[in-house]
This record gives sequence, C-alpha cells and structure tokens, in this order.
Amino acid sequence: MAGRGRMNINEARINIVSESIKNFGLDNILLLEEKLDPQFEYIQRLKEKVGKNYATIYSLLVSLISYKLAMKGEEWWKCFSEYLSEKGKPKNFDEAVNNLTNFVKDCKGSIIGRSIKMKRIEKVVNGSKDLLLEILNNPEIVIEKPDKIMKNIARSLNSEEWKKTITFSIKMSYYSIKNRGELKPLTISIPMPIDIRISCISYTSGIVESNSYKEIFKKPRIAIEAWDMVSKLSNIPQIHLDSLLWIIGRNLIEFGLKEARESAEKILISFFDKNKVNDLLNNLFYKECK
Amino acid sequence: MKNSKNEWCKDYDACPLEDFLINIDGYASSRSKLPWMTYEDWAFKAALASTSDVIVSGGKPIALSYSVGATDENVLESVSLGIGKASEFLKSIVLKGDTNRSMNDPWIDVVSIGKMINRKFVKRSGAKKGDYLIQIGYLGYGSLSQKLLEEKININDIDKKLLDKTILPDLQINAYIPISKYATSSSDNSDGWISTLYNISLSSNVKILLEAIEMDPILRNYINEEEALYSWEDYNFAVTVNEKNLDEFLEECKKLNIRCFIVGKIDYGLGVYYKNKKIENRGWSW
Repeated sequence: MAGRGRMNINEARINIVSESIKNFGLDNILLLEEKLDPQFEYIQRLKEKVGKNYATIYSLLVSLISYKLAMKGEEWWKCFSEYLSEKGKPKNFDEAVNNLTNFVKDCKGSIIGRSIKMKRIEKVVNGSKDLLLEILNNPEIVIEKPDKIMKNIARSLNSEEWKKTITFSIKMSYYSIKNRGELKPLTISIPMPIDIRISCISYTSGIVESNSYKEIFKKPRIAIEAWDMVSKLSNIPQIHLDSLLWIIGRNLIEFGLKEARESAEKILISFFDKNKVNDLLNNLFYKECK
Repeated sequence: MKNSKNEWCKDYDACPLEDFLINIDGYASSRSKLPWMTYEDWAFKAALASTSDVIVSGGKPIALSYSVGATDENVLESVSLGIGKASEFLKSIVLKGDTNRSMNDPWIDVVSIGKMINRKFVKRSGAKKGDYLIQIGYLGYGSLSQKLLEEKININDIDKKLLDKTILPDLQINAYIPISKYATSSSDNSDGWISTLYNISLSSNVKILLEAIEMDPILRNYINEEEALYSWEDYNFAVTVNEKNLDEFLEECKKLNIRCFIVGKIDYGLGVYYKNKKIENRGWSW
C-alpha cells in the first residue's frame, strides 16, 4: 500500500476492480457508450443531417466550451444537435463557424461567461485553422493522431488548465467519427478526469482509501494514479473507463448505495450479461459514498 | 396633510422593520377566487401570496395574521381551515385572526411576518449590469387558470393534480436562504412574470435580457412559451446574482433542493427583452 497522508491506493482493491472491468470487456463499454451516453446519440443525429466532417468539427469545438453550463449536460447536447441540424449542411468552414457562433449566442445553456466562451472558439478557429481544415477534410485523423490534435489546440488556447476540456473534445469528435455498431476504441492515454461522480466511485470501489469522496475530489492526484493502474490492468483506455464510470455513477450522489446500484443494474442488465454486470457492480459499489 | 403613500417600502416586496420583514396582501373573493377553488383554497393561497413577498425579500416565514370579511359561518370556517393549512405548510404560527361580516363579497387580508438573517434583506433595486437572472420555481400555472377561465381548456380535461397547482404553485419556501445570502435584487411573480421582471428593471434601472422560461413540464401540452411569459400568481421568484457569487448561489439551491434556473442576464438600459425583442409590460396593476 502506498501511503500519502490520509489518502491511500488500495492495491488489492485495484486488482479486483480491474479484473471485473476487464471481464466486463472493452467491447461492452463501447456498446454502452452507444446505448447509454446521450451525447453519442445527439452527435449521431447531427451527423445524419450535416455529415461526418462537419459534425466532427462542430463536436470538437463545442466541447471546448462545454463547461459551466446553465442547463444539464444532456439538454445542452440536445440543444446543440437540434440547433445545428436545423441549419443544414454548411457550404464551407466559415459558414460552420458562423453557425456555431450563433448557437453559442442562442442556446441559453451557454449564458454563463458567454463572451469568454465565444473568445475561446475564436482563439481555436484562428490559432488552429489549418488543423481544423485538415480534420474537416479527413475527420479520421482525430482517431489516428489524437495527441497531435490535443497539443495543437492546447497551444491555441495557451493554457494548461483547459486540459480536461481538450481531452473531452477528442472524445466528442470521436463520437462523431464512430458509426453506430462500430467497435473501434480510442487508444489514447489521458489522466482520468476526476469530477464528483468519479471521486465517489473511486471511494465506493475502495481503490482509493480516504475519509470521504470530497477529499478525493479536492486532491485528485491519487485517484488519477489509481485509475491509471486500473486502465493498465484491465487494458481499457481511461477515456472509455470514464464513460463506464460516468454512466453507472450518475445516481451515487443523489441516492444511497443500494438505490444507486439497483438503478445501474436495471439499466445495464437490459444490454449486458447479468453475471458480468453483477460482478462489476459488486466491485464498484463496494461501500457507501460519503 | 400627510397621505399614506408607502414611501418607506418603495422598491420592496416586503417591508423591513428591525429584525423582521412584514407584508400585507388583501383579496376580494369576487376578483380572486377561481371558480374551482373552495374558500379554504382561497384563504390558503392568500396566505401563500402574502408570504411569497417575505420569502423573496430574504425572510424566513414565521407568522401570519389575518382579517376576514365573511358572508356566513361556512365561509368563516373554510377560511380558518385554509389559514391553518397554510400555517402548517409555511411553518408559521397564526398570531391573530380577526373576523368581520361582509354583505355579499367575502374578502381577506393576510399579514405575513418573516425573520431576517443578520438583518439582511433584498429589494427590487440593486441589480447591476453583468448580474445573472435566476428564476426560482416553475411558472405557467396562472396561464393555465387564464385558459380555464376563458374556457379555452375544458376543466374536465385537466388532471386534479395539475388543477391543484393553480392553488398551490411551485413556491420554494427555503429560497430565502440563498436569496438573503447572495441576491442583488428580487421580486415575486404575483401579477405576471413579465411584470415581475419589470419591477426589477424599473427599480434597478437596468435592462433584462431574458433567454428562457422555465415552465412546469406537466404544462407543456396546455401552455406555450408566449403565454407563460405573462403567467400570474405562480409565486415563483425573479432573483439577480452577481457572477462572483453565482456558483455559491447555485450550490446552495442544489443543497436545499430548490429549483433554480439561470434564465437571463442584466445589461445597461431599461426594459425586458426576450430573445432580443422588447416585451411589453402588462399584468395585473392592482
């Protein structure tokens, strides 16, 4: 056990959790993204209207401003998908940027810090224009060279602290490139984004020992390290692990362990093998989130 | 001779006095009791309406007093039951009930008293450019009442639970906590949502850029957005919050399970704009 103040990594739990995630399998996680992540569904709907190339550019750029939203994430992506679908397929890159700017102005989800969000898009459009045109021409490069894209965008934004949204933008553009039913993973290694939900599962699964999930949220370094280990042992990239944990951990904060587990079980069991689901949930919902 | 213009409480929904916020609201039955309401419902809603002003000003409801003009004993009994029910709902004691005989139109006045936290209260004036506009609680029930009154919707087509919302709307009692801590201005929706926003705009001398209306989803089949703009007696709240306190405000809402939505922004200028179009100020004037 690695000791770090009051927070520790529990290697025994890491091995058990990794094993049950490995047993659940990457293909099932990819399927779960398709079936249960509303972001995937909304991006696919947009793709049907504007084509893969523009849907990828739209998804990439809008992810970069998908923070501090004045509506639920699901509602934001619905607004995004419906608004830009209605505009139809843009004639060129400039029209796409114009459509996106209007979306930011018109969708009330972006109301908090709207001018900063607009500037952010402007920065990336100006600073990474060649790259964006390259993606427009060949969206597959998001899957082929994600690290190159992340570096380029980070340079345009000129800030380290935006790392999380940049990683997220890769995932959302990957959602646009991936077709329904296609089991193609995104093989990048990223630090697990430790939000409240993931902090809670880091606690309930027992892989991080701490007084409460709030401590994990405040000091996420150990949780990042723990999920890196799980990723390696289970052979599942963090970006896909994030999907799994995000979807099944959604009820943990609002409900108790038992209810959250039941709700996750109900959702998963309609798509996946009962034994694999139970094993996974038993290990991820190992103790109450507090 | 000095008249009784309420200069002391100009720009206030409820009036501050030492540690308390005080409000009085009165209603004539012929002008305020909806046909599907009993006198018990009517009295209950009158108490809610009076207390709504106290809550939106940042006061914790603690007491009610009322004076009723009743046409007969049955009305009197119904009214006292309604006030009793309201006092339980609002966790307020009833200090005094005064009874009078009315010839043909029952009436009621309700005084609501709230306690301030550290003598902090919020007025309609105080909103500044850059503040966010928050809607607390759903609206739209008044528009439903309007349509029922005009017989545009048949009352038999309405679920009882939905009809009850015209008597007990989405009043968020604990809203006084985040309001008293962080709001720069506030007003409650008694005479219509746009009229409520104009209260803030005119008192604060600001322009309100409204971007969304948060209507109760169960009303979706009955009311459209434009109708909801003028929805009255919903007793939901309009509150403005400075950007630096926005996260704390929303966090507090979440913690206390209060429905809070960011629906607009405050700018220089005057008037209320919905999706960049100026909206006319209309609603009940008295």
